[in-house]
Amino acid sequence: MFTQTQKRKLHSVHSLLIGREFSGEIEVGRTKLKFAYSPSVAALTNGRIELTGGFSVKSAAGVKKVAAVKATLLSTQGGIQSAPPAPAGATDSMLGAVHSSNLPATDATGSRGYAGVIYFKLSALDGAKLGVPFDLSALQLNVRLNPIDETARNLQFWFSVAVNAVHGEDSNQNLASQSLNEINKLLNA
Amino acid sequence: MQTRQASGRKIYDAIIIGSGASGGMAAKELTERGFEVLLLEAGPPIDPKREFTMNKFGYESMYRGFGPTGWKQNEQWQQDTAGEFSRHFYIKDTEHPFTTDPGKPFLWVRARILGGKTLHWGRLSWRLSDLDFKAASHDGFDMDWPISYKEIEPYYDKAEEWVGVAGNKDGLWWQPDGKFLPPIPLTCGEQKLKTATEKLGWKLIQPRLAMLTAVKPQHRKYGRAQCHYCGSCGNGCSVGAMFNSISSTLPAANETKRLTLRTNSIVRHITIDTNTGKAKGVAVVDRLTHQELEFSGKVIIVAGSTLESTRLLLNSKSRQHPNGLGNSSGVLGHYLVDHFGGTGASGVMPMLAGREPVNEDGKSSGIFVPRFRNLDTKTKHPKFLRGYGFEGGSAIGAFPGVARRIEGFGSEFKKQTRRWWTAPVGLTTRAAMLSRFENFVEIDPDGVVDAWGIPVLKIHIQHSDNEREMGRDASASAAEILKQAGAEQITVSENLTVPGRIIHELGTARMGDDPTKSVLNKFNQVWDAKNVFVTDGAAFVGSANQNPTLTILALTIRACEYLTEEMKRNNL
Repeated sequence: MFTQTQKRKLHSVHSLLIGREFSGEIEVGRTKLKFAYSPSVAALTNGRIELTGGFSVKSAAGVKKVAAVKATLLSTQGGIQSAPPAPAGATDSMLGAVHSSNLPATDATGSRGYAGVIYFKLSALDGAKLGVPFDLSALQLNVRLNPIDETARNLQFWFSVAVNAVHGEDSNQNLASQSLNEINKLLNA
Repeated sequence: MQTRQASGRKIYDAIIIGSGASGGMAAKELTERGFEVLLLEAGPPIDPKREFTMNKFGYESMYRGFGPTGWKQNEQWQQDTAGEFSRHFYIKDTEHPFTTDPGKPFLWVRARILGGKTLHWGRLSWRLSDLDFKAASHDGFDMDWPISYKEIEPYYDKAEEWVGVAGNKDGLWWQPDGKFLPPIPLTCGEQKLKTATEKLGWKLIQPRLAMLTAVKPQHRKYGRAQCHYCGSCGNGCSVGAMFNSISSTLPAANETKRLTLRTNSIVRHITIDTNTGKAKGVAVVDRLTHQELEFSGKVIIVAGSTLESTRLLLNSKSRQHPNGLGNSSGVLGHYLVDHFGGTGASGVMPMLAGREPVNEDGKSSGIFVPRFRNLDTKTKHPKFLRGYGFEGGSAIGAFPGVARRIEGFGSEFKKQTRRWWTAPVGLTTRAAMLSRFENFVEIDPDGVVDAWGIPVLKIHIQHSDNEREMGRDASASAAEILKQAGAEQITVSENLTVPGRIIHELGTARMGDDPTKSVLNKFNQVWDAKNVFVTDGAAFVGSANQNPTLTILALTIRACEYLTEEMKRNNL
């Protein structure tokens, strides 16, 4: 039987980390609305990495913004190719290993694991307030980490360390705190 | 292709999910047997005249075939084999998340489009033998397939005759011969490699390829033409010389007037009859409109490609199947394998340097060195189980890749590049990965979904010591062959490809004789729901070292024959 969807729900949106902002587009028919999530705080909440920041959508009518949007880190997609270089004050070993010494190396990865994509769940957004004609009550924000600037590169490194330290097989509280501090510094620089 | 409008009120004899190698073959087999079939493809339709680009060359584009800056890394970072002219055959990773732990990356190449990965597959078509089907009896690791070579042999014959496989009868018991079209000749450099390989006591044969080197009536009927060796198979073959669903199986199914095709139809889950526990249909979301739909069918064929099929089964939870459809054993999702490559050797052949360049890459083939380790007690390797083969060749390519080896610049660089362009040689491994329970997929436990709100897979896979030792041996053996052939400037590659890269992901809904240790019986039928069949690579028990598509096609034909008989007996 055919059934009709009552209301179009937006399940997930794609974004790129550019500088300290997660930027992307929401397709509304033939129109693409640019959006940006600009976190300013990173913290551990209930054992999960959580960001807080503004979410804005730009349309022909102007920019509409909602403040204090929470983004809870759900999961990651491991990066392929080489891990981002360690910034000053950090070492490669803070990242997890792709393979231990008794497992074979691969031609597409370095020795260190890192996040190539991170997935966040956003706190409920009001589509009408943002000028988006969709249900945004349970929106997932997919962030592709393919940095082309220094800030994004450093954020990728520290997000990868934080994920490993908080959710990895060998969780490390000190490293988790250090990485979140570094993320906060970068978000507010 | 014009078919009828899909109906939500009709009960189809069979619903097929996926239009690639297996789904296309199932559509042909079942419609020809009188079934009313609804074929659901998650991706868009394709117009070969407009969207196949085999006659385009890199120099026609300002991007030289590599695509605009940032495209690959920002939109299709997992689609390793996609090029500027073929990227529309592949999914956008922006819409199709999956998750892994950072230290366990997986490379997942996916095609959601009518025809699936048959639009750009490598075309290598090998039979497995009892060395593969009965591998556990041979070396004691894991379990045997529930079928023998004798049981599947007639279906290999049928698949090869339909598809059109160019190859030579080589008389190797562990690499069985088939019903071949004329083989594609070796180049001069490949003849040298053959002589060298045979001096070492190993074999080198012509690849068996799903490309028409001759046109038989079953090919001509659907307008398929002989290969003209343009060499751009991966950009879409618009003359049908290369086997794909849209030039072969789907037109045959459509001709019966019993096929209904619905593209842009993403199956969310399989619906279950709460009285019987059997499948009653599928819940679908329209890719473009996001409209939710349901379709009913007496039989469901799951052929969405290995991991998408398993994802669908895991997402099909119900009261009767609380851990996913077909998962009463707890095996669903487990024993994921991919072949590995990466290891091998390359160099140049001085005796071929500086010759007149001719079209040698148009044949898109090369050579194959069949497995030579662990065939019997004489060839038993002390450090690893199973084995590997080599793909490779020696051919002048349109792009002079050899230039990467040459130092310098200016006229001397150009001179050296022209000289060595005609002399490349290389071997790369296609190796078995052991099926291990700890390599598995699950529905992402943290709730990540795709653009349609469907829960995604979390993939857990890593190589083991066995792959490492096999890779080491493969690199050394490849270098030995090249050295024997007189190659120089030999470079040895020792790193394995990242899991997924060979695009031979297999297993995760394995067949078996014991319902407590497998998801499917020997006819690809789900133990827990007898009107559901999984006919793609998910059904594999092990990877062997040969390319899997021909086996997928043969298993699909066999499953369709079986389910037809079972339906006649009211056993489904």
